[in-house]
Amino acid sequence: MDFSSFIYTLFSEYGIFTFVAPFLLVFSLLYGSLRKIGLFGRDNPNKEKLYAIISMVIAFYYLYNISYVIFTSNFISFFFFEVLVIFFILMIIALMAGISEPYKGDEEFQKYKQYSYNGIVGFMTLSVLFAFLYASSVDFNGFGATAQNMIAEILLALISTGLLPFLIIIGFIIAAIYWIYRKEPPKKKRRRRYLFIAPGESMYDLAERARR
Amino acid sequence: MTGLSQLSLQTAFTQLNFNQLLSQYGFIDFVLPFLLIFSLVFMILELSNLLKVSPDDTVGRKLNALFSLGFALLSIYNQNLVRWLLSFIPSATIAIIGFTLIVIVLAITNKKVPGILRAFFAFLVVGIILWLAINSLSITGSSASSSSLISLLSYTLNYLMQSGILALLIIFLLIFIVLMWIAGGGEKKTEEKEEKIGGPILLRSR
Repeated sequence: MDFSSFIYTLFSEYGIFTFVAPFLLVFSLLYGSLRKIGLFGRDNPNKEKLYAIISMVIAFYYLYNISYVIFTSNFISFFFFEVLVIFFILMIIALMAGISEPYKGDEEFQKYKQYSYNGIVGFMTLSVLFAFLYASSVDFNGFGATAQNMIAEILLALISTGLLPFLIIIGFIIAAIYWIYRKEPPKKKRRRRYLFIAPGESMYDLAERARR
Repeated sequence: MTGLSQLSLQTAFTQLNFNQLLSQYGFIDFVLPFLLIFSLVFMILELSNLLKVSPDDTVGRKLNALFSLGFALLSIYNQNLVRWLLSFIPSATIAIIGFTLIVIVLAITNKKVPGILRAFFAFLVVGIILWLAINSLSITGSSASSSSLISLLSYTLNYLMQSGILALLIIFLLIFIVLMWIAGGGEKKTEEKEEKIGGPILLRSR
């Protein structure tokens, strides 16, 4: 047995992975959150002890079911991988920012840039959902299986009842009706190149804001 | 010639031994991922002040450290993550080196990249890194590919294709696009025509 396997076995045997690490994670998160939001008042002299006891009790309850701990492990490990990918992207983009000139467009360009920025931030938020989907797709009997079954049940019900195509067609009809009856906004020049430049520029903006 | 080949063989052997040694002592499988995860998570928490009451809150900093420690240990428990990192980080580092070389060449010419090309580079970076990430997920045999959720999604797609609903939807979409193009095209043309007419307004009105 090599040393790394020995460490894993040792840590697993002594509950470092399944007891200490999840306890630290949940306890510090709850204790820190309670301190931050100050739920029991700022002037209460015993508040710190109360926060500690509440966090400890909730953390022990969480540890009661091992499948939840394994789910958390898969959840946060995939999430970390996504964070690392974003980190690499931002690192290279920040590198490229030094040798390029930002595009100075008009007001409309700034508007497009802001929309793109919001879109990128929204997509980055979706990484939590992807991590959840990954964790629930890992095969074990526990929380992941429940979450997976829930999504599967919804999709199967949509297909078997014929609701899925119905919803899609209704969506088309609503979009068409909206398009016909909507109030026409004042006509403006639409520059198609903004659709390409604005998202690219907003990525540099993201790297710039992260640097601050 | 023989000397050179011997030297390269010896170098490869030494490298193999060194890598083996590092792996054997858990440096690659345990220490490196732990350090990376701990430092990144701790940095993000410190920057966001998530668990801190004030910026110089020492208890908050300790909580950040404890949270990062728990996060790192629990993440390493998933052995797939170590494989993803081993597959992703070297190739992503090659991408970084490549882009750094581009930056060096452009720095020599002292020419700034214009806006459109800058956007193109951003998309290129995102594309390459995402491709590498997906590759490392699939190479290491992620269980996501064999999950029942994925098989259900493929079943849904098959159902849509075989029942002809997908074709119907595509036809609907095409009709919709054509309608939009026909209804919206005339106004744009006149607008463009108006734009093209230059010169003073007085002259144009004649």
